[in-house]
Amino acid sequence: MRTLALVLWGLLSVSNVDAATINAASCSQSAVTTAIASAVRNVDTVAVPPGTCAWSGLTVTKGITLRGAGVASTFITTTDNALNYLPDSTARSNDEKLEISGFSMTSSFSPTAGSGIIHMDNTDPAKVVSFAPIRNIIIHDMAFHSVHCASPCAKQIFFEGNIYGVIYHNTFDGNYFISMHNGLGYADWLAYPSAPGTYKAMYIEDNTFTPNPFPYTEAGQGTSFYVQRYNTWNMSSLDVGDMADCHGEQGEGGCQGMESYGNSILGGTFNDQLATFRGGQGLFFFNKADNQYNLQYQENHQCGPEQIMNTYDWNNYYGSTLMLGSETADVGNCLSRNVSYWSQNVSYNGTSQIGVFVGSSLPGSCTIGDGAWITAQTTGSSMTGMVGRDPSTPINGTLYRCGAGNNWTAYYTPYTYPHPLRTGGTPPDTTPPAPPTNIRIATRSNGE
Amino acid sequence: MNWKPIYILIALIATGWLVMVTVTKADPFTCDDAANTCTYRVTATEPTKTSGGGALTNYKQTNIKTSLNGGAFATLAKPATALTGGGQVVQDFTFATTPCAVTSFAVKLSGTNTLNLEGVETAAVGSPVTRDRTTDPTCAPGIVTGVVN
Repeated sequence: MRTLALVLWGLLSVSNVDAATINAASCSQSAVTTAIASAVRNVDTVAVPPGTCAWSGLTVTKGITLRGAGVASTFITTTDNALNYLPDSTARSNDEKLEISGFSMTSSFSPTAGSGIIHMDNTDPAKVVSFAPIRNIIIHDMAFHSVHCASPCAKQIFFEGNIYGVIYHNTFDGNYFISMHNGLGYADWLAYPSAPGTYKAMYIEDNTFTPNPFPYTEAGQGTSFYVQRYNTWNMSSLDVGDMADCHGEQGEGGCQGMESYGNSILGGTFNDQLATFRGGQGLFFFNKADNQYNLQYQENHQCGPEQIMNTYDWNNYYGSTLMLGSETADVGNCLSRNVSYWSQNVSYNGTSQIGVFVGSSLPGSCTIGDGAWITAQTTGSSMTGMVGRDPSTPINGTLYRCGAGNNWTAYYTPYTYPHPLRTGGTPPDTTPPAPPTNIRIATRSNGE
Repeated sequence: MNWKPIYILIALIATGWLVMVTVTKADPFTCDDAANTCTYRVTATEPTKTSGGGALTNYKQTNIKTSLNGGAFATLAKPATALTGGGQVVQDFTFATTPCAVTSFAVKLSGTNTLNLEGVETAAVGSPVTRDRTTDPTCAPGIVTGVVN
């Protein structure tokens, strides 16, 4: 009997593994690969010591915490791709958490489309479909560097397939920072639809970007919705390009869409774009630039189900000038203001003046599709404490949408800030509520 | 008959109770036919669990979906009383009734969390309720309106 008890105790102990930190012998790719191999999936941390090492395609297939000694201590160089995350079937089914931090990673020029300093792939090897989304990716306190290259070129972080999580407190300098792309078409676009204001996106928050020409974050040809919020962009006179891009109807699946808010764009002298938005649903608000920036709405190819839809912009400013979304290309005549997209209208009255209202209470009249951002916060160009990295006053409000009969309904609220994965590291609760109970109908006069 | 007072009291209470119950159930649709309206109160209790059985910590709203005469359901969102749910939901609905016709009013409810994920819908007990005005006096057989003899 005693032997049986010991066996059972041993089994129970194995099932409740304590987290361990495995120290890699050095920062070399082989030493780190060995440490990762011995790490218990979804539990252990692999610590990488200070040093300067070259990596090329170091592969991780399970959820772990991979931690360098800090951006001033652990330096990784690569000529193309430093690290690949290719989650195996267990990692996908368990939705394992992968957390990477504490490295300075530098890529020298490599004109290879489809690669990145960090590359994560959640598509099947045959590239026919995406797998179900993985939701627990955390990249933080890193420094990424790359040299200038002409497009196409390597990205700093490159996602394929539907991958959700948060990228925060990093610095990026160079170009082509973050890309999401899979080329799997409209079926994939439909299979994993976007949901603004939820965890169903890659959140890029509280980062510092210092672009060398051709600054970009982008998404296209399927893959995840993404959110850029509370980032600081330090621009120079050399900068030209888009802060963000979303692809449109290009035959391989368009961008699901994006949210962009609370970003601060400092300096710069060119007439650049806050975003060139070409597909899916967009929400652009409370972004502030020193100099002139534009928000472009485009369809460059043809009309289709992935073209711009349900897109709203409000309270974006360069200097003290309101930055309004504008249509700069429309092949096929697919897009229309107040049909595909709505921009702030400072003269809004809901009838002859429509679009997006901004204020503290809902207007009495509205036209179907109009938006109204209702907030107790100060609006306008100052946005003190509301933009840039680590804002003291995060943006708070609700976007309402007008239905028939002057009926406003809540449509969108920004997702929890900071992203919950930052503070708890636990997966979001994705289970919907149980139904309400004790549901009754009674005549009011019966006093019930 | 030799009734003891206690039995009389019991009989009175019982009778009163029965009368009260009868009044309550006599006309569950105490509507205003002169104004051609009925006002109904929908009540419910917010969930406290997720559909998976865990504790609810991110409740956003209760969705009250109503349909008149079998038409499309319209949704009214009632904000959660707390992220953990458990509060009471009370909402009145007034709708028009039609003389000499049956009007039906259906209600179902669901919950949504802060991730904008909506749970399954559940119909209210007794839904749909109907207001039958085919027996209004003006609709009685043989009475023809609009004709002068």
